[in-house]
Amino acid sequence: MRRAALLCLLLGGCGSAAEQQLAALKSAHSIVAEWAAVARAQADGRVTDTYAREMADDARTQLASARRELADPNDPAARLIDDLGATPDRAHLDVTASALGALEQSRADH
Amino acid sequence: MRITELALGILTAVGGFVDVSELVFMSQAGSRFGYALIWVVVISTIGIMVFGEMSGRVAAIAKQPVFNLMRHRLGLKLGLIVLIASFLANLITCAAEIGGVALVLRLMTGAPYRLMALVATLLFIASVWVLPFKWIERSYGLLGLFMLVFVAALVAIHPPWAALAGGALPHVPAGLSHRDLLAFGYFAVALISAVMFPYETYFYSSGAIEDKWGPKDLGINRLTAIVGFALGSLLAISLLAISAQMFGPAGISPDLVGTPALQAAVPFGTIGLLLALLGMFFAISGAAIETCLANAYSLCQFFGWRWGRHQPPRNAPRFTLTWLAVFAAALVIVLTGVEPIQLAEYAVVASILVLPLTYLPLLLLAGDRHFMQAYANGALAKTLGWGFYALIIVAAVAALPLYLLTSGGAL
Repeated sequence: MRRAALLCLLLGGCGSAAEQQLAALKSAHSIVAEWAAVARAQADGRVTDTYAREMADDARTQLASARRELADPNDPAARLIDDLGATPDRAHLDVTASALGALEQSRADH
Repeated sequence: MRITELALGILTAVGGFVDVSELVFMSQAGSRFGYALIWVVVISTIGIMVFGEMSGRVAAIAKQPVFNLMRHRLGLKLGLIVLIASFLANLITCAAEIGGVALVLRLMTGAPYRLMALVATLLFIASVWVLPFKWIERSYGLLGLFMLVFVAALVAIHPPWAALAGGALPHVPAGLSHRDLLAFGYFAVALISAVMFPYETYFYSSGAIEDKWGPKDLGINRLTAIVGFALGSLLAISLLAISAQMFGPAGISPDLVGTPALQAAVPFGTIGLLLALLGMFFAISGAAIETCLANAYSLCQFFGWRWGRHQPPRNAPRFTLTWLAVFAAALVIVLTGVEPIQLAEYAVVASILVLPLTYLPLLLLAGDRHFMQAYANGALAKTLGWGFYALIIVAAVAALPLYLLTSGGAL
């Protein structure tokens, strides 16, 4: 989806910069929420350690990609992602997912 | 024996119904719009039943696979354009499937993604080389039935059945913003494309010729297309419905191929997770092989080369070289590091653009009494066929603008 956003910009700017930032924020929110869901399932013994570890790896990679598109370093969403670090615990993931969700909602409403 | 054949055909169609694009788009559509897009899946499924049955019937009676028809009905120039476009769409789809399988293998073993992509491709090559056609189709299709764990998961999480059934009635949710309305349109088009992928008819009709179908097989053809695709669609709808209940409220719009497996892990634990991963592995693997063979069938049928898995590889050298080359090219695409989900998105948009030209010659020949005689399209098949053809044209025209306006559904 992020490459689609870039393609979209290259093909004539059909989305504004603000919309592209919103797309990156939505993606980041979803990835952190997915990561949190996997961490919850692991804590409950519902997934294998291999699955949880590989999903966390994928989430880190995708999140880094979404973070690069949030160009403004003072963007609260960017700061939330930066604060996560490489090995966040379950509670931190839950809190960050909620905070990103609230930011996404407020920006989508504008 | 005939009942066994029928049961196997239906089960194969069920197990082979879901591929990586359906996994991704069903989960994302359910997460974003709840049950509101189920009716699109239902309508698209009726569409693939209509065209699947038609392509099997044409193959059985006129002994013509789709790309033979295309060259004769569209002419060399337009036929060649369709061939190139569908070849590229299938190649991207094949790469998406190989990438999806590699990711699933990585989630099961922890081994590196690129190594798993190579292992998967070698496994597919060995399967196609060694197994007779019928058993390529059946082994992956039947083992894909592990995906039924998602249907069990849907029952286990007790969804609001009335609301779910309401999603099967055509409607657009009230109160959507302009942006959400565009995204709804994009997901509707993507689901139509994912369910009605053109490779499915290329493969189905070529398979019918490989299996030497004749008029006596028309009953099996009809039942396989109707019952098999309907049950397969139930599986796809389960993915969408669980996602609506489990992922939507959590703000998850699955961006990772492995996320749908959580749908079975939450109610059933690690057993559910492993069944889901196995199902995904076999279903996506089957699709990888089908897309690759569909390309080899298309190219050879178009140029009149000898083709088919019913003969040893050395007796159809161009056919053999083509499918080997398609697997190799798809693997190269995967090794560049493009994400499988990204490839799946490109594949559905590319495929919907090709669909109108794929189905036109099929519709024309299936209705031609000179070729089809008593087996030509009747009033119902004609009405449904042209009705769905109109739907496909609308979807094809809307696909690219919606993709661009919504940044591939991201907005």
